[in-house]
Amino acid sequence: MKLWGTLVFGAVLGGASVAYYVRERSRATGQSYVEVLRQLPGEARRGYGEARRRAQLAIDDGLRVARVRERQVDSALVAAAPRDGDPAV
Amino acid sequence: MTNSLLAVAVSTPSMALRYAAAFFLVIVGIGLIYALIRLGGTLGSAEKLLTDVDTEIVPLLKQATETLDGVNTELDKVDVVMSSVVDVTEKVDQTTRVVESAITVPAKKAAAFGAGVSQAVSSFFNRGSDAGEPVADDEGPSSGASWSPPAGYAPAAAAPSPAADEPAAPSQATAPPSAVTTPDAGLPPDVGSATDASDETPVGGASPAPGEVSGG
Repeated sequence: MKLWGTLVFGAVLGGASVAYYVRERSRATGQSYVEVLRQLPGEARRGYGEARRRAQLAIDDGLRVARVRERQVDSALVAAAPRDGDPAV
Repeated sequence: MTNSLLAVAVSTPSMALRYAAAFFLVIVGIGLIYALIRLGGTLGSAEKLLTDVDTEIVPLLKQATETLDGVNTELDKVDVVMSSVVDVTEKVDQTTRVVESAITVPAKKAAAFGAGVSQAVSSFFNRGSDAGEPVADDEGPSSGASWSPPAGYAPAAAAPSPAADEPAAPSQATAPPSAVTTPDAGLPPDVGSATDASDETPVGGASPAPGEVSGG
């Protein structure tokens, strides 16, 4: 019963989302609801591909910045390490 | 008679010498007796002194020996305590090193992870705003600035685009000066300031590749 409730709730939520998207897209482009619905799979594929491309670029950029930050922390730790002759704390 | 007078005349100096010698011997004897009496007194004092030393110094030496034995025992205990202190110090040093490594390495990774995630999120959403409408400048340090891929970057999943390898063509839309930035634009000030020269990306290339499809 709980599974069916979750499925029904998801279906209602998805349907509402698609209906909202179709209405907004139709308002923005002036196309009919049918044309927007017909273009919906292609739009979804394009959006998915674009999201993957952007995610890949963002991951590469984040990795590069993370390496830079790690080197900075390493340098800070080395600089903060006590040297011979420093007074004991 | 003559002989007797001659004998007296001859023996007179000899008698005088004999008397003088006798007197001298008597004087020397008296001096010797006095010296021996003084020497006897001195020897008596020395004997008394030695007796006192024998009766007083030996117990003192015994006490000193006992004291030194006690000091040696205490020094042995101090040696044991010092050995324990050295062991404890070494353990504390090892523990400090372990704790230091256990703290610094995750802290370093966390800092790198935070900076990377922040930059990745910023790049992801800024790239989305590139293709669409521009983002206002007051949204943050990294907002409103277009992202350009790092030098030498070649996306593995995407098809090779001319914008990644070549400078932007004049026909492509170039970003306004306010929107031109480097990949470190979204970083904190300390991150961006210390970026190596090799990590710097030439300014430009703000527009997406011609083959790319904008989202939305």
